[in-house]
Amino acid sequence: MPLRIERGSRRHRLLRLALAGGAAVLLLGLPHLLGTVSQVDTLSQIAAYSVAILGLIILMGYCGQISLAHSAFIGLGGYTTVILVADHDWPYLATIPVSIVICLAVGALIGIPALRIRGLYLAAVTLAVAALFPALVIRFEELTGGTSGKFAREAMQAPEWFFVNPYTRVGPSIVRFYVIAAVAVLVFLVARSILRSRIGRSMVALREAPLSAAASGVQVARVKIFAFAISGAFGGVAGSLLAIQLPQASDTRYTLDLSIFLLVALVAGGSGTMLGAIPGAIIFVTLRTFVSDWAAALPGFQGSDGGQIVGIISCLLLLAIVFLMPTGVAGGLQKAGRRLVQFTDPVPAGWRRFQLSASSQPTPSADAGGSQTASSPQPENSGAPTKG
Amino acid sequence: MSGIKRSFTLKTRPPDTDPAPGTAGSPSGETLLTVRGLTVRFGGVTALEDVSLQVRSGEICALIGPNGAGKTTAFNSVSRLVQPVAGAIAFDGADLLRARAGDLAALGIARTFQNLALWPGLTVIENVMVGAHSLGRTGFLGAPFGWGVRSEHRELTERAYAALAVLAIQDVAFQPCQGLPFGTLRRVELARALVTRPRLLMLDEPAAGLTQGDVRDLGTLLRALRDELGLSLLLVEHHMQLVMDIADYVVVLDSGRNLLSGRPDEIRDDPRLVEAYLGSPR
Repeated sequence: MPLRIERGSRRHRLLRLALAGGAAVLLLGLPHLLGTVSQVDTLSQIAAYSVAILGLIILMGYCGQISLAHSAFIGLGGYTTVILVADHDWPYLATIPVSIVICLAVGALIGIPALRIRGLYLAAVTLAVAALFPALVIRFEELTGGTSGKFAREAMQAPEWFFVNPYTRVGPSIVRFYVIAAVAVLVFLVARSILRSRIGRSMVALREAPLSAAASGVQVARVKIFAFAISGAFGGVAGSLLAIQLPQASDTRYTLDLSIFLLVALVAGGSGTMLGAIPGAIIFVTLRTFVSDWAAALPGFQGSDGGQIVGIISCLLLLAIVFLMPTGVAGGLQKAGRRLVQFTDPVPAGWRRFQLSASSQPTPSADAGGSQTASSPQPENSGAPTKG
Repeated sequence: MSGIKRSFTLKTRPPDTDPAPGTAGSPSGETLLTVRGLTVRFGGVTALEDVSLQVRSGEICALIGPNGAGKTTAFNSVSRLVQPVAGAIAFDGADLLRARAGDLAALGIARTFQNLALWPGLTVIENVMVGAHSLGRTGFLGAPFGWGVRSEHRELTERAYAALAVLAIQDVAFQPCQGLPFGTLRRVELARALVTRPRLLMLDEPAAGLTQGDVRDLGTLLRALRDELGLSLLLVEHHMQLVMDIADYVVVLDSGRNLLSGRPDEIRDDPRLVEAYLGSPR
């Protein structure tokens, strides 16, 4: 019998506070538990990629639009940061708003074809964007450094007042992790308020039945464009964060492969909930670093980059997830969690002020107050609504 | 979307400013919806040709006709999901052909669909809350920062719950739509349309798939909506008994054209109506 907790109750608030506190302690403490620079860097990458996957969750999971252009946004954000830091001496963090603005605009542009086309055709258009990006990088060589890449000379350092001494064993990388994690937390909070607003609900509505969404007053075109713009902006932030972690950008870092692996991570992590971005990012980074290293060391594959093996493993992983855990890791965890704790919703306290005048309606007898929960499992309600 | 199209004080519009129950059905009521000379073509197929109809304020108008007569097309033209090639649609003085589908809710028009068009990924109450979308004011700029999201969420929840209560299905409010019985889902869709307090409620075959008892309840409810909330209704319906029971005015379409129209008792025995449905005797 699962524990039942009513939303908005004291217990619910305490539980949420405890979970938020636990997450904060984990984020602050985890890098101290890890010993080496490369482990902390891996953690930073997970945080940055979770922002990118979060953008895909909003666009594909909630709004139901297909996009393979995410690598281009990550690249746009990455180049924005590296160029501004290397050529114009901007501080690293100040480049993030610039990435956001650029990627919002480009994302909205890419959303325009989505007003007319959908499904595979939309996938093909966004795929063209992803394929075009590295070519554009090479074309505008003066700006981007072309095939030789672009580097910022100085990696981001902590200011003097910062509480972590940058001259420890994992010094600068732990500072970068804190910065990246802090920005990522902010982006998650932004996503949370979007998805809780009427715009978040209208995204789900237009995914499932666009006609009735329009009939309900949802401006379908604007919501779609907004979803593309926000998703692009999150991709841009992720690109900037990755450039903070490793201040270099090159055409090979932002290829179509990146988009496709992000899709695998999206499905594996779970696209139905915001928090699916975290297992998704863990899976993504694990595949791209550890599995790739392991594959490259296999007998017979020395000298290769292990890319083929990673592709095969991703494929198998995707098949396994689709069959065993169709809602992804996050969906599976949610399902398991519901066996332990179930949240019930209270009757909204002030609903009577919106009561429609209906003198002939039988006044529902059971819900006299705001304290009662309305989650009775009784599905059928065949009682006449208007007897009298 | 960011503009406040309709204030939250909508609820203060008292039902008694609308036509009194007794006079509601009288033909002298002012015209709320006027469709004139509507022609719709899908490629080479002319679905509607020169169709006209009127819905008077506080009146239930039924649109009937055999399958393929163009009832749903006429419906979809009014709700701006289909673009007519000719004709005029006016709602309370406003030219609807200049409005987009998403604008109608704010103008005071709500509709349901023939084959339920609910959103199974949302809970029952969330479905109704999306129906109240046009009452919200969170814009694209405010949503990312959460400005006003919390209070708006509370208010929309309360409104949606009140709409569910009218249909006596508030006890399934927080359940997912998936797995609920069909009759309940029909009521969810009706609640979704009602939550904005529309002036014109358009129902596309609301009785389809309902049991006889449910149809009776539906008739009582629709009449109550007209008499107590002063709603005007336009419904497409095949269930003749329901139509004859509750409609104030009936418009019959056949093969995309106006066949006849009048009060239920005027057209009930018209040979043209019988012929349209049963064919001419040989």
